[in-house]
Amino acid sequence: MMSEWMIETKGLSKKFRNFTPVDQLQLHVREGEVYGFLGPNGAGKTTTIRMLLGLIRPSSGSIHIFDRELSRYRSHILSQVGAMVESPSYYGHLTGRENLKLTCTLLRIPEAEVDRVLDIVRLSRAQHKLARTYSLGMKQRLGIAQALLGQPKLLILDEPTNGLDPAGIQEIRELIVQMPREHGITVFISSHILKEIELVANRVGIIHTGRLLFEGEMSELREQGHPFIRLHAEPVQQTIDYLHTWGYPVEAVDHGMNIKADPAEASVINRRLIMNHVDVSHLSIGGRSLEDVFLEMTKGADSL
Amino acid sequence: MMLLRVLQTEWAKQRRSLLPWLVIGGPLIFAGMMWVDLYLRYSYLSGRHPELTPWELLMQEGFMLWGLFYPIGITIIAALVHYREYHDHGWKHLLALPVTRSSVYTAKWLLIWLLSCVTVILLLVCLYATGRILQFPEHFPLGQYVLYGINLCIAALGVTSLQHWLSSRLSNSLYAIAIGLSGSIGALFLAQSEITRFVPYASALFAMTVHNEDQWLTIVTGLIAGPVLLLVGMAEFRQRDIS
Repeated sequence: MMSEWMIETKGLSKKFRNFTPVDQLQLHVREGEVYGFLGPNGAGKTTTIRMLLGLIRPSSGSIHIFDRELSRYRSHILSQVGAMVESPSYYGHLTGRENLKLTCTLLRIPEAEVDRVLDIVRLSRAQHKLARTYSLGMKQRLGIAQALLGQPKLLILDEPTNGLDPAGIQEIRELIVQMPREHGITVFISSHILKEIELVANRVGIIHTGRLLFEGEMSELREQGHPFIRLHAEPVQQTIDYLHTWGYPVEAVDHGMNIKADPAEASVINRRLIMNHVDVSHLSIGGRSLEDVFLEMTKGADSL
Repeated sequence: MMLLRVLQTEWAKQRRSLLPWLVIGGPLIFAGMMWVDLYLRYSYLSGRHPELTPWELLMQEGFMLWGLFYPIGITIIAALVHYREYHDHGWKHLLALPVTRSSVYTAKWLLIWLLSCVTVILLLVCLYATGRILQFPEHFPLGQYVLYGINLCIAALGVTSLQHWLSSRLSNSLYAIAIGLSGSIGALFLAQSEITRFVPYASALFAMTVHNEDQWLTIVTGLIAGPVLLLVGMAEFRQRDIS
């Protein structure tokens, strides 16, 4: 029976002499999603990615990609995986196009693929320039173009926005978001920047000191901050009654009330109260922010 | 075939690099030195070795110097082939592609060895041209020179395997070059000992085909050290963590 996971690791560990960068990792990545692999610097993200690509041998545990064990079906699996690990790899003395042609030769795919990926990453005009003359953003895009050659089913990107200016970050973010939607590619992206992951990922895995602390939907992560809606309204008792009637748990606090509801409901609640002639003087979102949740999980890692 | 595809890309990576110039320039400069040597000292040398023809004298004069330069040249070729991967962070991209590590290791080895063979062919052509320019009256001893070339190509096997592994292992190419340089210079002394003359760096010193009864040392060392060191290096490379 086919597993529902595109990537699944069981008890994945990597040990060096007196250091365990990855410890009993259980990752689950679904087809068609953008999976954010989040953790502070030195958390074990790159070591994990290197193991997923067969660059490093795990000390224990297993990796299944496309329902097959990586150690046994490495070449078959990697023929459907595109990757960029840390900084992009390119031969600076060759042009962008020549770099991509090298990968085409190794993948046994027609050279026409080069034009397709250059178009996706918007590098067509700079394809005949030497790669060493590219800006950092262009080099990152060249790295992503290399990863896209051969129409992979899975794209693994390790900190793809590292060192980019805001415009470059925006460009890469747009590229990543369009991958599942327009090209049917599942994306596994690592970052130490919470905001980056929050903006592109559907699901998230949080790693710290080699251990997976959380894995689930982004909305589940937000819920860990126990969000609530803070409301000041008159008359108080009538407001509480209305909210109870509409099925919202309400707690009266000093100068107002806290509603245990999804923050997205705030506008709906506001509209209904006003329609019922309640005077709303204050409406805000309370609880811990996503950043607070992440910092608490990772024990205040100073890299955010 | 995977190996040929990898070899093709390895050669393509060297476009616009220093490597083709080294392969072409090395034998040309060496032949130029030989021309100067024989142009200035031919009368003296032929007086010292009246039993040798001019062509044999040319080989006799050059073999020691080439025996030193040749392993150094292979050392530099190996370092340049691997420098690309380390300098451009190429290993992690290359080995995350659906190619086997064995094919990558073998393709790089083949490129280094084939380029060293190209230098030998160019050397022979340049030495022939040198003799013609110096107007040697005798017939060119093609068989003797071709055999010398074959011996040199076999001598390259051991050094290629050794320097290939060192260059793949040491991210700083200068360390691999320093070891190769020390080995090549040290070989001049090691070749004089019954025990240490089997060191791969010394192989080229026994490749000469003019009145030399030790050619078997080149053949034995090259044919044993080459494949053995290649397989040992490949075994280590296949297990290596790519950081």
